Amino acid sequence: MTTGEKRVRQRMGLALGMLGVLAIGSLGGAQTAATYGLKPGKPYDGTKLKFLICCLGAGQFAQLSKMTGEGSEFQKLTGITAQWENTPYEGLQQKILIEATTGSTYDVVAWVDSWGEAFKSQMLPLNDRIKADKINMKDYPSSYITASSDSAGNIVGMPLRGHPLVMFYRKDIFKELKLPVPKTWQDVVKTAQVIQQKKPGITGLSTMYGVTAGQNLFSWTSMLWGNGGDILDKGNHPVFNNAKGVQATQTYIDMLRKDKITNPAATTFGEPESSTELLQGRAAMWVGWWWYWARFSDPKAVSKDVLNNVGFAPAPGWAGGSTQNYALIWPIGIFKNSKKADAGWEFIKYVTNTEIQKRVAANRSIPAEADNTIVTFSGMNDAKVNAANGGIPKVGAQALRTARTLPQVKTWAEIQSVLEIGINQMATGAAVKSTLDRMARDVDAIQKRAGYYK
Amino acid sequence: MDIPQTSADPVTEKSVLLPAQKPWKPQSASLRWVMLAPALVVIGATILYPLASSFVTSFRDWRLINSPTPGPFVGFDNYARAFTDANFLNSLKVSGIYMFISVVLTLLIGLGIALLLSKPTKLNTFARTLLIFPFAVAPVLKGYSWKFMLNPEYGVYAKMIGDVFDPLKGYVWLGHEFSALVAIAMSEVWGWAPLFALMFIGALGSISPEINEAAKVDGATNFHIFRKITLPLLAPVIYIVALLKVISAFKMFDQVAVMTGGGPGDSTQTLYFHVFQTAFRNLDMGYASALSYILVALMGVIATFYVRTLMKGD
Amino acid sequence: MQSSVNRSSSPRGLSPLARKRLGQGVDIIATLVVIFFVMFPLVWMILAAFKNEIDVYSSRLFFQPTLDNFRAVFASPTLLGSHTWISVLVSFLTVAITIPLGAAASYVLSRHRFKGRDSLFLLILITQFVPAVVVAIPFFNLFRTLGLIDTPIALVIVYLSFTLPYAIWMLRGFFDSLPVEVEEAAFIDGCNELQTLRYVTLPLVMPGLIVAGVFAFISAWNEYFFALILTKSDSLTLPIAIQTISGPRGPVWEQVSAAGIIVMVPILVMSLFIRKYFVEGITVGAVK
Repeated sequence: MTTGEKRVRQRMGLALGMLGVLAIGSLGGAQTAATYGLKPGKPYDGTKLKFLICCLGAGQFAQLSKMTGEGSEFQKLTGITAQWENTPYEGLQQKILIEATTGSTYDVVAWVDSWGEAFKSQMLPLNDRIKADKINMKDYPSSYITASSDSAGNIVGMPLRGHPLVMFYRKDIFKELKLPVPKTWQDVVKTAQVIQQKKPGITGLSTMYGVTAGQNLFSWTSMLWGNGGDILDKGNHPVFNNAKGVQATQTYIDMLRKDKITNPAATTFGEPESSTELLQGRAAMWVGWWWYWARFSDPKAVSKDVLNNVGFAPAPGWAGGSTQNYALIWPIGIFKNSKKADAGWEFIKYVTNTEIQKRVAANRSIPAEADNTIVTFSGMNDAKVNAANGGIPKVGAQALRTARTLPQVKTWAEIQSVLEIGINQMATGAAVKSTLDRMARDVDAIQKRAGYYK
Repeated sequence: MDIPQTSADPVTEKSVLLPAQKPWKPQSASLRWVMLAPALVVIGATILYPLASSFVTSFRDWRLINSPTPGPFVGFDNYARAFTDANFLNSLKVSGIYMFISVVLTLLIGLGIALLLSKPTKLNTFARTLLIFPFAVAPVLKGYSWKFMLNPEYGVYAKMIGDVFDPLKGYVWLGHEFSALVAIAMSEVWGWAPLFALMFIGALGSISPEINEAAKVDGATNFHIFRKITLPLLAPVIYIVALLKVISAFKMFDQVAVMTGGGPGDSTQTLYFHVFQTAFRNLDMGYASALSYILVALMGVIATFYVRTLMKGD
Repeated sequence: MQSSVNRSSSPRGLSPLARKRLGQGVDIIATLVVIFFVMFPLVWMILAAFKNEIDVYSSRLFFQPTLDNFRAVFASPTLLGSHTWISVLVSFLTVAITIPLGAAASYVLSRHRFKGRDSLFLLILITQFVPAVVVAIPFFNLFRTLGLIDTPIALVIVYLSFTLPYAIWMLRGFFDSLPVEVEEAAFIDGCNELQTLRYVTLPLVMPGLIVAGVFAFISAWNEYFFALILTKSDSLTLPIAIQTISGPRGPVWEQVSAAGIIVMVPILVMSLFIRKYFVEGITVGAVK
């Protein structure tokens, strides 16, 4: 492409983007509060909500924050403005825990499911509100609801952003080498080796083994579950060091150390660095959350050969084992300490509303803010949403029907720290079996101290 | 050289605690306490209060995820736990190794710079002015800049090293236990070594060229001169400077948080970082207080050395 | 010292003049190496702040400079402007409390003779060895109950725990270094102690106050540990705010560098200003 052509394209993109904004604007004008189940008559006019969240770089959050801030449609309908607090992801878990115990800076918070158990007692139960507003909870994957409820069965968060784990791969490379898309982790290894042989300069699979807020657990958990293992048993005892756990972990570590199908620098990688490998055309496969699909089709973010060449498939299962789909959900809830709970609920209703979520997921006018993420089944099966996102939402919906999330224990922050450090140690050379045993002992001590068992 | 000459300089002063001084006549006892009181109140409130409070908490069971208020007293349980806690013992080891690495590197590089810049040429005088800059840079930025430069994909230092020494091409500096610790140390040494160099240059300035010339006439080699004349003269400065570095290394936190987050594994979890994690990530206030009191004890040992040096004044 | 090293290591058989030249050349190269070591990380960061993303990741030396990164960090979501204001506020408040209190106390500790004076001074000195974590835990819990988390005042309070003892120690050195005779003359001329202090001693010790003030400012401005614990959103200081500059690919280096310049430049200018006292200041103050 010549630079002239590029410029024309950029301008066209800009013009289209402006059109998109205009379209949303005019669409918004036609809506009333009732469209989204909001209270009419602006009873909370002038309320300013503080929303504890991270990652405004994520397209869905970028769009929603604009749609609920100063001068937005949401503000026009309700008189409420929401200030989205852009905490770095690495610090968010700690910040939420501290906020839950120290109270009153924030009204609304969204969190990653596994963090929740430690502070659910500080979150406002939403059941009555859900009932009063007749929200259809059956439209959500059941694992999303379980993860958003406390042990007494109160729902303390509404699903805001959720992902199944999927595999992304370079369609062009797979086509050129006539490779089938691997269905098991064992096939992933073999496929990656073939690719590395025939395509020097490209690593087969991009991975992340670094210590960054538990991100090195994603693939590990998928492999562990696929092999029939688990992190904790029903009594919350650690069981990840049993024979199946050792086998799954060995495979996970071997990909880096023995099979060498991944960048050796992955020992320091988190999700950003790891996804960049695929983004920049340095890797042929990557297993991660489905929302990256939109990023892989952003012409400004990806290199030329990668653009429009990224395919997706369900996350790999285990040879001779099963495919246990793995999901992650961000529930959004209200702190008990908040004095603006009612306004907070209006905000939550708006951002989790299926129509709003569909609008966000289908909007590709600004490539950097495009995001295929959507949490309801009706949204995932929506024609427009699927047309805008290459059909990935439908595939995700299938996976989510049987997906699991991480365990709900209040000690997760500590357990996660033991796990991610242990995995990182094995990735940098520690023996698998003995390290897992040591990790299990540490987790066991944590669980005992927390009173899960004697 | 710009070595300052006020009497608080423990390097040159005989004793900072009891300066020779004439009695000062107009002393009003009431004014004395009026002027002292605000500072003492602030120091009491900002240091003595937390010290006492932490001490009490260190004997209690208090996990914020269980309760927002302190739990029951548990005697010495928290202290006992520390000595069987592999993670804490690891952080002791990490901090020990880190101290050693950073003290040695700072002294060597600082001494090197001092010797290179000791001649008072115009260029050297200019270079000396630059020496204070790295130290003033915020530790967070030191961490960021070194992390950036050591990135195996696009880091400029990583590239330079890889170009000079091929086996290190693409080496993941922050991904290996020892090199990660050295990288953190280097981000700190970059700030400290030039400053120490200034102090060494000040001390070197007091060696008269005649001594060196005389020694040369007597047939002494340069190494000999360095060992017999330069080093002994620098020894007191080296001692105090090493102590300072030990103290600062003991407190290493910022760059660990920015550059490695304690990794790879737990190989860069320094004492401060570990206690921070215990208190503000695991929210275990009782245990964290006990750990921080162990730090107080360790720091006490270092402080004794430092204060004694200042009192003796040599 | 250096010259003799070079002289003996230069090859024999050269004329004295050539030898001298060679020695000078080696000296210059050595100095340039030092300048590189000291300045390169700074220069590299400053360059990165003016680079486009693509140049940052290619570590190119020549590039088309841009101000986009500065625009980006002052815009949403980083909003560096408000964080700069918090940092300025916290640092100035810290200095504004530290220096008057520290000056008063150190004056007394320098000029007055009373029982327990040296023990008191020693005690103040020792407080600088108290590890920051010990201070952080109780204050975190206290501010939690008082609702002071995420306020500038919380930061100022904990910052005093290290700036004040440090300022007292430093300022006493300055008071000690003043000749007592001038003050005695004023006293004999009929000034009382307070007047003497006001019209004679304080003007004389002014450079010391400035130096101590700058040191207190720098340590509050650069502080990271307490700010990490005690701030959430409204009171993020610059060192913490820099960490929020991360995109889907981790830290956005070019923007981090632009913010870094905002953090760095005022401090570099100040340290240049007080550079005569820098070494001494650190020797005294590096304890904390």
